[in-house]
Formats: sequence, C-alpha cells, structure tokens
Amino acid sequence: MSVPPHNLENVPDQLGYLVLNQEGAVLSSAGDLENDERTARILLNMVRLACKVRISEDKLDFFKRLSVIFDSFLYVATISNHRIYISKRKLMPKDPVQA
Amino acid sequence: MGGCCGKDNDKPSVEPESSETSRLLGPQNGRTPDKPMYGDGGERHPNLLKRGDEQSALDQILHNTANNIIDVAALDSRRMEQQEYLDRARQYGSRVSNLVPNASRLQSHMLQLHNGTSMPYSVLSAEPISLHDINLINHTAEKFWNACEGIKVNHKEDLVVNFEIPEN
Repeated sequence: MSVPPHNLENVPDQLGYLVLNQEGAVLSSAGDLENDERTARILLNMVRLACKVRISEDKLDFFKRLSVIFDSFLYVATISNHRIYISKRKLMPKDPVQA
Repeated sequence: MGGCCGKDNDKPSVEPESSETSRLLGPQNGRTPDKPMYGDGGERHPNLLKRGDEQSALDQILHNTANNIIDVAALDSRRMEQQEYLDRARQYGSRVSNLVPNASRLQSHMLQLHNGTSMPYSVLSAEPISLHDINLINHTAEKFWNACEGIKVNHKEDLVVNFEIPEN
C-alpha cells in the first residue's frame, strides 16, 4: 500500500513519526516510532476518543491537533484524508511547567 | 478479463474463470516422486526378504513425504490478475456482509474518521502548545478535581414523604 508523500520527516525537532489508516494499521513509520504498534494503538484510541468530544454546536467541527505532552517530548496527532498522522517531537520548555 | 495485456491467451484455463472455490494452488499435476536412488545393492544382500521390507517401508515414507510437499515454485498454477483479486475481494466482502449484516455497519461506525486537515505536515510542524496554556489546563483541571472532591450532600428533608392519608 503506497502512502502519498506527506513530508513528515521534515517536522522540526522530530524524533519519529507514524502514519496509520483508519483501522490502526501502520502505513509508514520512522525514527523512535518505527513499527511501534503499541504506541500506535494507544494514540489511535486517544484520537478516537477525542473524535467523540463535541467542541462546538457544529457536528462537523473536530479537533485539529491532539497533543500528548511529556516532560521532554510530546506526541502530536492529526487526521487527514482518513489517515492519522502522528509525530513525536522533542519538547524544550523555556520555563518549567508548574504542576 | 483484463484482456489488455493479452496474457490470457498463453494459458488455456482449466478452471472456471473466477469462482470463489477455484484454488490458488492447483493440485500436484499428477507428479509422482522420483524413484529412490539407493536401491542398487538390494539384489546382492543375503537377506533378500528383510531387505525388501525395509526398502518398501522407506519407499513408503519417501512417497508420503513427497506427497505432503507443495512445491509452489514448480506448480504452474494460473496467475491471477490484479483485477481478479479485486473482484474476489469484493465478492468475499459482499458474502460476509450478507452473512453478518451488522458487521460492516458496526465497523464503519467504529472506524469512521472525519476528513480532517488537508495539510498534516503544517499542522504537525506548527509550534507546540505554549507552556502558559498547559499551565492553564493543569490549574483548571486541578480546580475541577478539588471542586469534585469537595462536593457534599447536606440532608435537608426526606425525599420520600408519607402523605397524610385519612384512616377512613
């Protein structure tokens, strides 16, 4: 199955990326997330859950980007053309997060 | 089917074109295993009968093994064109959906993703969410949590009240 060019490898501060189809199968992956089906499954569930959240009156209004933030890195996920694009990026906080 | 390549002319198809029961791997084409090569000393052996038994047992084993091997490379089974694969996939899909009418609906409901953005790269490479926003979210969530923890039920009056029903 071929994946159209997504240019994901050029995301700044990126540690790895994943492209999933609707069923959660890994179509493309690289870096830290190479063939990381476990992370893929977890993030797929989070994306599905986020899809159920109504963010406005308009039923067609969905989230644009889902961020899962850790101390030193974050996952960002978005949906495009019925595919889920996930990128793991380095997080360099300028001032510490207050708990 | 798929006559543009003209490949179908080379192979007269024995099986019907595209039925769901036609096999991808054909039968063994009646190939019998070659005769074993180690039977040359049989006549010179003094105990001819015993040797014969052994020989036939070994032959039997060899024959069984050869029967169980499917040599995929040696089979000249009919190659399927891409269109045929797609046709079969569609056919199987419709059979399955006939048998299990709710499966596809349930599945599509579970898996349906919206179209989303047209530019995944730009969305993902945008600046991460600011620390200020993260702090705001954390503080708000904390306040909500504390508020939920602090919910108390004050007993004011009975929910179930006996009506004053006259005795008679």
